[in-house]
Amino acid sequence: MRLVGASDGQFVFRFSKRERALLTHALQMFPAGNGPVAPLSKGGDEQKLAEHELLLAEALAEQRKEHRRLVDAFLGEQGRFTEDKSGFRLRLTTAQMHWLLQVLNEVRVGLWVKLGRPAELAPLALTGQIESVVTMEICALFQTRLLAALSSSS
Amino acid sequence: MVGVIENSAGCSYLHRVATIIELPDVVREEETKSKENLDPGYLVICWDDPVNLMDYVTHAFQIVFGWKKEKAEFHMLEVHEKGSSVLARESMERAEFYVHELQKHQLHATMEPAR
Repeated sequence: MRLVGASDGQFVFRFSKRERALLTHALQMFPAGNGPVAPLSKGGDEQKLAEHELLLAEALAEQRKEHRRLVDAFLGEQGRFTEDKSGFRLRLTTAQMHWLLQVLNEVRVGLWVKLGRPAELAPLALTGQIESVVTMEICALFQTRLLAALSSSS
Repeated sequence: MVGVIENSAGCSYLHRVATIIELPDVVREEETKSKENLDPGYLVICWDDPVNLMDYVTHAFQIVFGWKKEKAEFHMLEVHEKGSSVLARESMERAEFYVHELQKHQLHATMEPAR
């Protein structure tokens, strides 16, 4: 995945066939989590905040639903990736970059939570968890490229 | 003030009318609440974790708070090096809003009563 052009809030990336398949794989894993990554408060009054914890869970569920809709539209759209001699081109707006970053991070963090919030990932690859670890790293790779593109344009 | 007043014969003439405006008394309260009685609000705190990418955390702070990159990076590094960073001190409603937005980016953010 390589940025080949950026202007007026439009970004054009070049993908190899393999990269396209990996991005599709990562997006198909969404959503990987199913609740808040942390409580609303660690030290607040639990009774007072109980209703607010529910509101947080509802807000996150609503966002996952909306992002699922966007992911389905993204993956299902004909011509999203245009083929050329050296692979594929993908055109993204700034807004699409932002939600793609959130979706990829949701997959990365969601898998991490499912793995038991380990401090290190490498040892898990040796204990039969290699698929989740690889997917997390794929998400990180695409996140890094998207962030670099946003940073270079600003 | 200059006014036009008409007499009984139908003639009018200029007449100076003095107006006295009574201003209400202003009672100034020296103190409404002691500092101890003011609501201390809530701190919005982001905690370190081993999963979120440093550049992504900076990006999320910029989006959620509208900060410039330098300020967002300062807080990201504080999270990374010290284990947490206080991002804001707000009313309960506002702190809750920020925690929602940060958690929508999968950041480990909470709101804690300010002391």
